[in-house]
Amino acid sequence: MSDKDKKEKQFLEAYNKFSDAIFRHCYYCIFDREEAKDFTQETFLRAWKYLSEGKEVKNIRAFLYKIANNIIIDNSRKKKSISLDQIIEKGFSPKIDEREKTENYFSGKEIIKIINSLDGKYRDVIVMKYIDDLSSKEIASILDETENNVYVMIHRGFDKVRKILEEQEK
Amino acid sequence: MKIEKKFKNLIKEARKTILFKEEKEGINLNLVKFIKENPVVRNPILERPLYNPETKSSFKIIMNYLFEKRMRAFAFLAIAILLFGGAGISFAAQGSLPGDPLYPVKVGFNEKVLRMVLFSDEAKAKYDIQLVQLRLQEAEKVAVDKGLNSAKTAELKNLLDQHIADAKSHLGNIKNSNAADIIANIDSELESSLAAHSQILGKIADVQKGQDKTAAFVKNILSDVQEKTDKARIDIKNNYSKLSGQSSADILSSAEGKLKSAGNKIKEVANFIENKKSNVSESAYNAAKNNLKIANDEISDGQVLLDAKSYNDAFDQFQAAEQTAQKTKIYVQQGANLKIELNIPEIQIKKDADSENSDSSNINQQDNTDQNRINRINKNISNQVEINPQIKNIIN
Repeated sequence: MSDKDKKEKQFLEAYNKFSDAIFRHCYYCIFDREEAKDFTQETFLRAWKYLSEGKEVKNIRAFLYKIANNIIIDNSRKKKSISLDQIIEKGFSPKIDEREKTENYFSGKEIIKIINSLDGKYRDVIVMKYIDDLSSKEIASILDETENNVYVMIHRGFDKVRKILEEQEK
Repeated sequence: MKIEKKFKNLIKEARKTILFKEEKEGINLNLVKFIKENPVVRNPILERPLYNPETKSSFKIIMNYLFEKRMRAFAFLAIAILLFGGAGISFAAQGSLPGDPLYPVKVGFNEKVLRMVLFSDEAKAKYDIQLVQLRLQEAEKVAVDKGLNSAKTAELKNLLDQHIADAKSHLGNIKNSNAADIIANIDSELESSLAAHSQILGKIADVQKGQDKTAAFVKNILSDVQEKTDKARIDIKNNYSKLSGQSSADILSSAEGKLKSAGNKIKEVANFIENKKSNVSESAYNAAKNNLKIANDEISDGQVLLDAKSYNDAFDQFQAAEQTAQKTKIYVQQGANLKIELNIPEIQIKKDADSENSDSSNINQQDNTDQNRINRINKNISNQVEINPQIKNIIN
């Protein structure tokens, strides 16, 4: 197998490994399944364009999240924020298994409500930390922040989540 | 503690969000296509791995060193072909053309193995359409090199028949709620490819006219492709009738989906044209950009129809925009690959009442499908529409 073929194979393996995670990340940042799908594809196309030019990447996972985040930021500048009602109206369908659809619908609605009520900067770190399961070091590199700042944002973000959940309990 | 547990459960549910199998395969196909069109640039840096693994064993370092030199890689390949036969030959067959000794390995083995990794009928049908495109590209390459003969012509025609029949058979198996949209999309892609390649083959036939005995074989393939294009257009018309039978909510959703995919296609082709700018003539580049503006106009027309709740016509209009972009991509791609001046046709939509009487030999007005579409637009659009600003930015 030539070097070229090896690189293509390696990249397609990275697609198989990380595409669901990138899609999930996009989905929980924009709450639009179709758009999340487009952003996922765009992420991998941009990643390949970069890599095919001979540029090197140390951590492909963090690199993909960084691209996805840039696409999300670029697009969010063009769009107004979206309310929970609009999200529900557009159809909430993030699950793959039809059998689980009904019971998951409610928890899905709840997590969207929580994430959607957070400020942008906290929302990003909460999604990356808890839903994407990224380390603080990886989040710091994706957001171009220091690790300390990321710790603080996660802590504050989680406090906000806790308050929202406590409110719901009352 | 209760709150933490609740949060943990919610996160657990959120992590179940993944792409549907068909969606994942669809993106994978687009990615493979994109990789093929944008291969790795050969330079010394690429001798390094694509990305650094966390740990690198000394074995890997030694292996990288051993295979750094191209000559050694070639030697290795030659040995592989001699010793292991199958795998090496299969690899070597990938770039072969009709008439080459390894071509049967490519079409009879490699392509069938690749098909086995696809699960859904939709992915398989899309794959078959890509094979149709590949066969047409091969036909054009052999035609330009004046290498067509009766055996190669017959083989290419048979393969085209087979791929189209396979695609249709997979489309027939799709029974889910989006079946009508999926079939419309794939038929539309097939028609665009056939129509664009028919133009290219026509151009090659014109250039070779009277010069060479192989020109007759080019004409033979051309007439076969034209016949297939006509059939594909009939299929599109039938799809249009089926779409009309759906509920208005379903048609609206189909039209909105088509709007999105047409927009994406225009973006993709705009990037493609920019990437190929240095490989095509200035006039071809300008004509391609002009075609994209026309595709953009078609989108704007469709948006007007959508606002007027004429969802069927809006769908048709967005589909036309997607096809315009797709055809443009093929003209640019083959112009660059074959290194010939293709005089990229400018697809024009006349909005005046005389359009029905326009010159029938003009390639821009060549089929009834386009004509019907133009007539419908004339009926529905009274004012000049503005170019969709998002896409305008990309094109300019």
